[in-house]
Amino acid sequence: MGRRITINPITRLEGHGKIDIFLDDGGNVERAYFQVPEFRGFEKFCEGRAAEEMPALTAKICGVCPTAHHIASVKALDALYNVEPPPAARLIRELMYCSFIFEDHLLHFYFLGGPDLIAGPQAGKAGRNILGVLDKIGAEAGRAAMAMRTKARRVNAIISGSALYPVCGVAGGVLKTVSEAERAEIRGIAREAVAFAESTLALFDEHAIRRGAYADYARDEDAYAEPTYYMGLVDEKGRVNFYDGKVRVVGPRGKEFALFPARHYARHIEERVEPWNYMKFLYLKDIGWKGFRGGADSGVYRVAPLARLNAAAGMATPRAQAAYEQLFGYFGGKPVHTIMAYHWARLVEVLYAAERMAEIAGDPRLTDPCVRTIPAAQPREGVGVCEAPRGTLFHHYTTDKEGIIQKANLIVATHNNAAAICMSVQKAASAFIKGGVVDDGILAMIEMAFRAYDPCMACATHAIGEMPMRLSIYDSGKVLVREIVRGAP
Amino acid sequence: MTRSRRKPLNRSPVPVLVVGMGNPIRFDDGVGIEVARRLKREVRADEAEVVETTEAGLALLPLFAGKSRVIIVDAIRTEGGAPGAIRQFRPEDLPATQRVWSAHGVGVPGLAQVMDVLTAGGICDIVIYTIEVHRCDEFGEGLSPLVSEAVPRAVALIKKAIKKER
Repeated sequence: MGRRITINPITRLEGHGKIDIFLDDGGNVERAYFQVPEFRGFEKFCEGRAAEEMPALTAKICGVCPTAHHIASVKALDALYNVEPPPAARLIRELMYCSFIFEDHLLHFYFLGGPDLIAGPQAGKAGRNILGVLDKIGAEAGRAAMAMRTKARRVNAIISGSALYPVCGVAGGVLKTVSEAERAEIRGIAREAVAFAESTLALFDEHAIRRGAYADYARDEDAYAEPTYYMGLVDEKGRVNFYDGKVRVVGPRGKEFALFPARHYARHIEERVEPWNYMKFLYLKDIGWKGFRGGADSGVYRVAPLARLNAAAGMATPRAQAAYEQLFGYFGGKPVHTIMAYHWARLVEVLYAAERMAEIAGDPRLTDPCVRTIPAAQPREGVGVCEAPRGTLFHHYTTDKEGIIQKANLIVATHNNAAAICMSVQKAASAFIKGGVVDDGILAMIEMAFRAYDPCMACATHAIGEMPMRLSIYDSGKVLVREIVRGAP
Repeated sequence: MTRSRRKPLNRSPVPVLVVGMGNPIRFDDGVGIEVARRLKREVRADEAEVVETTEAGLALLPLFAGKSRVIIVDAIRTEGGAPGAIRQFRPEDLPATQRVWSAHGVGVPGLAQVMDVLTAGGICDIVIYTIEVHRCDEFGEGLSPLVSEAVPRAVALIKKAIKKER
């Protein structure tokens, strides 16, 4: 039990942050792959269970975004039983969801995106972490962010019934009403959230844009830009919505390519399994799979904050709309392709989430006691969709007439981005591997691309040690020539 | 409007927090949760606060805030480890978070660092108990036999740890 125990490596689930790079005969990069954990066995695990178990069950897939899975799942149940939740239930769900997006995005900016944007590359290894960020913005700002996040979670706890997993959503609505006292409390928190979101954008402007390295990154198109299609949920006016709407896809030039209800997802998105591993890559069916590359003739698309802003006509709240216009003004048009814009887009969404929370908390319909429409239809098939912090999330269930799951298909956010992340990895790899010589700077570059996408690897909790990242480099004969492991002793 | 809210004045906060971590639908990964559930039944509320969580990384920070002692119990997989083996660590025994690429990938040592800054040195004492898993690569419920047998042992160890230094 001393200090000299070595654990080698502390990995509890395989597949975390696994990168494979294949070189050609000349020792240059031929292909690079980034692997995210696959939900192996999850579909099987769901089969034979009652559909109503799914919102609680799928919330446990991942400890990080239980609320996203919960919402996608209850919406799939609404569709399965062909039932429309009453207005109050809809508002309650959306309010819970906005508070979740708000706190999740906030955490990312202050503690993750920050190192690249605020501490900057010149900070060196030691300063390029959360401590470096806290050093720049001050511990007080870090504390304020943490306190704000705790308050946002309080909103979630009031509504969702459990701080651990949301358990309030059911087919046709929610199980718990919101009282006037609760509405008043939420309203206070929401107002504070709006102010906090604005001050965060101001902080970003000061530390990242004005004083930081943001401008350099943003203009480095070679390293970070990739023209692709973009996907996101939009409301009836084409504006960003996290909870509901139609799926809109725009092309690399910003033109609408598709607009469809969630239930038609399989007509538009196809999964491709690469022979070298078990991971699925998604692409636009109508364009087809043309390999790991961008452009209008490649079916690769992206999701998550920047993609949502690119895919939408604007934001549904005034302050967020102004922030949205500022972002596209800075980059000189729409769509924006550089992944470094993801960080900024995330903050625009933080502001929208806060404003929307305030709007809903100010809506007297929120406390209406009617929060459920009892399902009466015979179930068969249902698809639910929402925008998870990391992108569009689909739940698709097929049941027998008793509502027992026969088939469950989940398309999770990070899988949508998987091909694009591979492309970013390939770009970094090509820049740092020449003639078989591997520059150790490769990890810094790859990590920066990762953080912009904020890929979620946590399909099980992984809190004890650092999540390891394993970079394997293979020569043209597929023989492992170099391995860099980060996070293991 | 300015109605004063009564504060629980003389009630000192429970100083010890026990956190059971894991994912209960990934077989043995849920062992920390199982230990926490048993402890909840066997430990008095004024002795320790026992919580279960599936969260990881920085999301855990608020949980630790204001606690003088934290006992974490979680699943672990080590090379050649015997399923059910219980080990005890301190944050400094674990490799420090070198580079963060996910908010959920911050380990306990990184967490301790952040807390150190945010709480201006008021960092709590953290002990980590781990139970070696056998099976956690797929989705499913329940613990494998050797891991299940470790649960009462872990519960006993942690109960002893809670009582210590009180």
